[in-house]
Amino acid sequence: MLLVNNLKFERSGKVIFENIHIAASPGKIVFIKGNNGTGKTTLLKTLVNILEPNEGDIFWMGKKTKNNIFNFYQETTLIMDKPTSSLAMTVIENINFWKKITSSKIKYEEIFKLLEILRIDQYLKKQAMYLSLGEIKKLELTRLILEQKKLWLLDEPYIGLDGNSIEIINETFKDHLSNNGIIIFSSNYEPDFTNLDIISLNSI
Amino acid sequence: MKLLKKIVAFILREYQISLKNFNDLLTILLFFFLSIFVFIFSIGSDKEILKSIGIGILWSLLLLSSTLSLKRYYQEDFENGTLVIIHMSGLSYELISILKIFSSLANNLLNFEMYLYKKTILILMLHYYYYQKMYDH
Repeated sequence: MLLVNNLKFERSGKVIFENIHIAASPGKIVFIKGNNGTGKTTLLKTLVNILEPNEGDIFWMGKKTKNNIFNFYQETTLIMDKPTSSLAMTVIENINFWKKITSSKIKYEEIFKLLEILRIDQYLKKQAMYLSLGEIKKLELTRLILEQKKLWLLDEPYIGLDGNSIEIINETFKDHLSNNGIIIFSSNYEPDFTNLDIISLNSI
Repeated sequence: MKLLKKIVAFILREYQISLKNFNDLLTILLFFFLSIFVFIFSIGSDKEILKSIGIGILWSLLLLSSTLSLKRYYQEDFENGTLVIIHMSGLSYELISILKIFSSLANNLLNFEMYLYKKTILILMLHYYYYQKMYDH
């Protein structure tokens, strides 16, 4: 489980956020809410130790993430707002790369089924630069299933997706939560989950 | 063993990207030959001067032209977050940067500059052959 205690972040003298407490036990979904420029992305980046917080600690399974960061990374999937898939490579080459670099044991049949559900299976041998914004985002979201990690951190997962795909993503979230997974995500669109923990950055 | 597989996957990715960025190759090629022409036109066709500084110019142009594609190799991955994703899969930043340097060198040299070396050597050989024939007569 992920515990965040009294987190504070400053950038050039200006406080971006402070007094952030998160307690995410298995099966919990945390929604980071805030207007544009209130530090949603910055908070997610501090959670995975890309940026260092000025105050406060982050614990994963009772240990500080800072000291054994690779143990934390082994159980975390991070999806940022920008697509990390290389636009010059084809869809299947991107998937192959992620599969190898995360040493995932998922079978190809499952991947193809997943791509079929997301309706990007006909672009397998096309370069990613020819896909639309939503399709690139969907390709990025396949990493969630591919990596099979416990903690999912997502920054704006709904950008560019159509209604049908949003439903599929929400179903995937519910499925992951019922398997004792943890999800932390930020978004401008608020989905209707029954046990949504909301962390608002607006008051600061 | 796992680490080795990850490194191989990373290098393969760099190679695949370098193969598909043909525009970059063309830019470097054009820059290289254009700057050679500019040098020759500005210096003149004095054989002694060209002989003494020609090789130096060629080497420094090779170095300059290979820096043109550096931005693609490093900046793009940093900006869209690929670097973080690769780091989170278990490779340290130090290892990633070392691998990047080697793979960019290998891709640049093997794909393109080897081709250039062949061309320049051929041009130099033709040049000498032509001049020697002139002096023979």
